Amino acid sequence: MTATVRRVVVLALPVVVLAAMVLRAEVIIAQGRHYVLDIEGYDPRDLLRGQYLRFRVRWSGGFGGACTPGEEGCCVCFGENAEPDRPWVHHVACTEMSACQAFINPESARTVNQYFIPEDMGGPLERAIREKRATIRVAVSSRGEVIIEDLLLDGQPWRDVVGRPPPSE
Amino acid sequence: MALKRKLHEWQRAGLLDASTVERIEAYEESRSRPYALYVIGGIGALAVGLGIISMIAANWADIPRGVKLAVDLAVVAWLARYVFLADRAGKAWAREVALIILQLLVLASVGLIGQTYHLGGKAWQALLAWALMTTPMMLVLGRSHVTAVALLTALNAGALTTLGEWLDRAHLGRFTEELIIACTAGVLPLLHLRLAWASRLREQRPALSQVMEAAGFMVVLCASGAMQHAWYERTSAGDDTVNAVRVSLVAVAGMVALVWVGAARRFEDDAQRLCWRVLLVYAVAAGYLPFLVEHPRLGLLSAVSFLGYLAVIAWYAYRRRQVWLFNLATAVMALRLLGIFIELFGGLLLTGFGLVLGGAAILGMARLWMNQTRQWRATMRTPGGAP
Repeated sequence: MTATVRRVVVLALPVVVLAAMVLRAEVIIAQGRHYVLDIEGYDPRDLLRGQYLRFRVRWSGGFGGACTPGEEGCCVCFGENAEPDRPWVHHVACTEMSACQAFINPESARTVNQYFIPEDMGGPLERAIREKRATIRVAVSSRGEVIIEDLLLDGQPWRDVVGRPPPSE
Repeated sequence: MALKRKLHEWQRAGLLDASTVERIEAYEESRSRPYALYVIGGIGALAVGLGIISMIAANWADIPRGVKLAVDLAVVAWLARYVFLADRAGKAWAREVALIILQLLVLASVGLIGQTYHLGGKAWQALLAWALMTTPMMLVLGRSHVTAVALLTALNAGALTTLGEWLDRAHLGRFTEELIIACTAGVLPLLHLRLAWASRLREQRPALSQVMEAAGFMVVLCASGAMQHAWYERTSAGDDTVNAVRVSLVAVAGMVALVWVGAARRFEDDAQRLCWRVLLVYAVAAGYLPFLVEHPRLGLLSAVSFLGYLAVIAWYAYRRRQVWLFNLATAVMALRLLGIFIELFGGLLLTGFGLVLGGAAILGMARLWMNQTRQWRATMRTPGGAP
């Protein structure tokens, strides 16, 4: 490998990897299944942690689980429901996923717990979440990875509900 | 400036003629390296990089996802191209500064992608990805001490946070976890030293080699000094931390042996090699000793051990003609001496008495130091002048 080629390769590496990260997320959004999941504050008195909202998904609404959520090898299985984007949820061993419409792998299930917000929106958003029903819209890939698409308040995107705060005086 | 002033002083005194002064000035100018310029460039690049990270952290929700990410990737690609062109044109300063901004921008971009898609990843994942992405370009293109510092920071941050996460997940038990931490803390600085002396690195990346050596050396010295303060605490055989440190000494001793052998290549001069080895072995022995023997609280022994250690460092610095290290060691010795007097006495009257005694001892030491260093500095700066 010549010196010039080596320089081009090492400088292109971060550009290619970053582009691949973006592409992967966009593919999940474009080709994955879309669901709406109920959330609740991790600590209801203190939802904000710096620049993000901390929450946990309420994995409810389905029949009993065959394994304990959060355990190694325990996947979140989505079953069919009358409302297509609101699945029945139950926990089963990751080796027994054939009956699931889609699933979330344990690693992704553990990390679906934060939503980044603009720095000046913390207060208004925290108030709105207390007053309204909060859900997240997610895209789930065929490999069980999750991308959070939006935070919804009473079914509406949070930006439409909260709007911009008035400029500080 | 000091050299120029001296040269003109010697010229006025008739010791040098004008042409010799001119030749010396031209020679020194050709050898001078703009270290300050690189440091300022590094600080500026760091400020730009941190500013970008801060702006991204503010989370511009009003900008559409696609636009935000496209602009970010375009800026990363443009900066990478700029580094390539600056390198090809031989613009060393521009290349080094742009390289640091690019390195920090890659970290900011990882954060931006995580923020945009609300990926609940952890810090170690971001730091590891950052280190893996940027290490090759920093190694291939970085030449200055500033980029060497940036490279080592990324590598160590990525490796150490990943190790921390692995320990957190593996549930190995308290003793094993503490043993791995003790081995890493003991071996890593010595590993930096040993790798810094690899002949290929020293030839092809002298700045990186020097930074690795300085970082490893300073961490070994500081860690040993800190560990000697364990005399202040009672140790018992049932303590997991104490036992972990004891067992880790096997790995550290192995690494010391490797560094000992490596010193043969690093120091051509027998006397310098010997004093380096003495300092290394003394530092490791003095640092680990409080963990090897069971003891009650021994504050005075801690102070005496530390003072002895500083004396060895001062001796080493004198032998190796490192005036700054000599001055630092003696200054810390004076402060520690003052600390002993404060520790020994209780109550206002006795503390005051201790301070007077301590202050007098420091003044005496300073007087001795001034008399000695004037003579030592002259000999230390003369090749072969030091004994």
